[in-house]
Amino acid sequence: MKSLVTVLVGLCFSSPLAAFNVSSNYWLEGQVEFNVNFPDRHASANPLPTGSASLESLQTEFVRSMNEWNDESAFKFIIDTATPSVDPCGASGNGVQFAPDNCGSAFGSSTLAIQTEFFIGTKRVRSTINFNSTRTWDIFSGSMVGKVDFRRVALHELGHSVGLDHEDDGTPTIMTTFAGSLRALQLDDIAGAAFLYDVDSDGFGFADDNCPTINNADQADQDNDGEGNLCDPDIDGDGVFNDSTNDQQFAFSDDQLASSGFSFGDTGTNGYLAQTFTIGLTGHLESVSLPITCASGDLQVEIRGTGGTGSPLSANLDSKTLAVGPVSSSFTEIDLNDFDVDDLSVASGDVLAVVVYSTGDCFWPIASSGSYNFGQGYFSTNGSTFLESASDRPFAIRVRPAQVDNCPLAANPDQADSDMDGEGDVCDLDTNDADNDNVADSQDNCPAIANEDQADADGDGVGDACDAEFNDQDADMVGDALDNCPADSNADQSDLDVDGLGDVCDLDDDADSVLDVNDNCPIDANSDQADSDGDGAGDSCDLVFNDQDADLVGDALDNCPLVANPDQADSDMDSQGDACDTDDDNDGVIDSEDNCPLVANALQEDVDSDDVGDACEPTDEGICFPVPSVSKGVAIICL
Amino acid sequence: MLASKRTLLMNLTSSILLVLFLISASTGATSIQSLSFKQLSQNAELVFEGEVSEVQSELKSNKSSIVTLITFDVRDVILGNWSEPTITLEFLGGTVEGQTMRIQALVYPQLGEHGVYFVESTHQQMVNPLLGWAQGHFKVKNDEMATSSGQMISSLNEGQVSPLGTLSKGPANGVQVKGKSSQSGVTLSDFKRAILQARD
Repeated sequence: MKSLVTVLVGLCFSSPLAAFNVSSNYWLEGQVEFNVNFPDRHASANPLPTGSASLESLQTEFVRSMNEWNDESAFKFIIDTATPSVDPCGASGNGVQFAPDNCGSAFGSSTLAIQTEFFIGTKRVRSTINFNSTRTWDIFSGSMVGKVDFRRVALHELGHSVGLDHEDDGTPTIMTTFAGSLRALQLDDIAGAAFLYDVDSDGFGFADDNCPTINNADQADQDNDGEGNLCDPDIDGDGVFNDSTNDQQFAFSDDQLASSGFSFGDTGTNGYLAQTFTIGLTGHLESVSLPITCASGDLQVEIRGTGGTGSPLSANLDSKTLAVGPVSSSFTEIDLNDFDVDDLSVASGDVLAVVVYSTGDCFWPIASSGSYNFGQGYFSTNGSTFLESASDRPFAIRVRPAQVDNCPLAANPDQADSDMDGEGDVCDLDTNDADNDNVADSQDNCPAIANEDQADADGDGVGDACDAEFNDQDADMVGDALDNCPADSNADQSDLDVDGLGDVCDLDDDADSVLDVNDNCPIDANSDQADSDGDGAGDSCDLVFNDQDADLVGDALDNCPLVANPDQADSDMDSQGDACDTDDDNDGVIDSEDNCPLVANALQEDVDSDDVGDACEPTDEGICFPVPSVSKGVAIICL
Repeated sequence: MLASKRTLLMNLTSSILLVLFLISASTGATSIQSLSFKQLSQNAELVFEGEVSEVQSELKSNKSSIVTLITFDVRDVILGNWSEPTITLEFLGGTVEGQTMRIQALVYPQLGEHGVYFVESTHQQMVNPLLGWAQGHFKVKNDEMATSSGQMISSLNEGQVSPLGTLSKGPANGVQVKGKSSQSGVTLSDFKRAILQARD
């Protein structure tokens, strides 16, 4: 018996725990059309026992029960009450009836109803219900004594049609083995249906969800094509895909394998799997994703055409052998660029096949069903039974569209792009900006090449990004038109006086009207050329001012560099300041001995012997002083 | 329309087409009325101790269903009349060449299984020929009795008769199974005696 999946789900509502049991097969679309027409189906030869409700009332109740599932759960019954009704014992269709036996097999004395499922792989494809017409059926609450409450049994059997199994752990549910007093769906029943049909937990079951596997509670669908934006490869519905790539999910299913021409499982040499798949959009097949692990041996993956046969052709379109290392190796996404052919051009609707060979033990690493060593999805040279569900053997392909929408959110099937900037006109905010650099073509110095900074080193009006003729005679990478010294290389374009002439070609860099060759400060404007310390460096640029006696007369000009004499007095004009001259009158007699230190009197004549030399003895003419004389050298002036 | 939804549609369509040609598999969920041990004993046409010697499934001639024929070596007829050394019972469902039809609540006796079986009818084609389905299906383990699901039986009584619509999948009323304590179980001979007593 196929194992059931027991799921424990913590819920937010009053029930502390949900513990529904779900069947391992379910309706892939999350809905099913179900016919109910008891009056039409019921043979008059088998009337319900006296005390039963009318067939019309039971019909109404069955429809109500289906609507309860529709309203409360993520599953949808598409209710069909048409005539002729579907025969539950016929070859097709989903239907319900009252009958004295179950399609030829007696119910047995204890059987009230039998619900039968038909499925292929994991896919439910048919559901029928036969109610035992020998029982008394009515619609009522309370204990079922002598007759059966149709509502309880109908809700229960419909729950099996949804995909729920019995649950007897005490959680309130309509799916208990023993019918109790509950006559309405419980939270656990709703949670069970959500587990099967609202896998993305966005509140919308498969039947209503425009992205069944992606949570999108808002169900936004710009092009109203039934596919939500989050999963729509063509959001704006203009026929051009917005995605750079598109993934399609598939699985190795039993029925496909049966028709593939490849035996499923052990051949004595290799383990084989093959599966056809339909390409969803035109482009290039880029990769195959196979979450397979190999414990030993190699895994060979092949892409084959089918030629409309429904089975893989013998010739490979592409193949790859993946060698297994000394330890188990997992192969997830297999890039076809690693294959013999870089990629495969495919068109929407193409049917290809993927064929995988295991030369050892390979398997999809999923929970073991307990039936064989490596769990479900196992295929190997050892062979085994392969009754696992197709959902246990997934694979995916990735296709890169041949054309990507230049306006993914605005329909533009013509893909018009007048400025050829890659953005379609309908969504291009600036159709006059061909290079899309946010500078309009009319202002752009490179309209075809994006250069948002508009750099134009040679100033010729053509942006550097597109300037084929770059004029720069001094080769300093500054174009002549912008170069402040076009004939002299000066990449830094230094121009101290900002006079438009670069320093390297400017004869008066500091613009002080003194040519640099004569300027004691060529890069500091000092038109007076002041040089207080006389060191040849103008004061404005002389970093070192020499003045040992700190009399603010620089040493080079100071007549007493070591004795402060700011007045620079030099009585005898001998270039030695008086402050440091020991013979101020330069008469050969040092001042300390000289009876006239400031008047030259080499003979030291002193007629009156008063120690004041005659030359400087006060007279009626006053006191006489020596002063420089151009003609005599020194003249005496008396005051 | 590309995404998974369309893929699902395509797969479903192909599946529906295929089912027109073959029944790959089916399963059923069934509402079985709860019975008491006394009801089992009184209403069974045949109760026997036996061992499953052969299990064979086959496609019915109408190609719309599969049945499983289970042959028992009859060791002891406890109630009813059966003089043959073996008996073959037909159950609805089974697996033939990879195609499976399954009735969910139906538990098939397994090859080699030793048990006591309450047969509702030996001549009528039934979904499950065992009365009350799992309720009329008992296993013998080391001379002690167990339910069809393998739970060891600790005690037996006639059991209360359930209201008409009470559904069952487990043991019949009056059949008590062991808890975690290692209390003694019901032996095969005790079980047979209980059947006869309940019949009276």
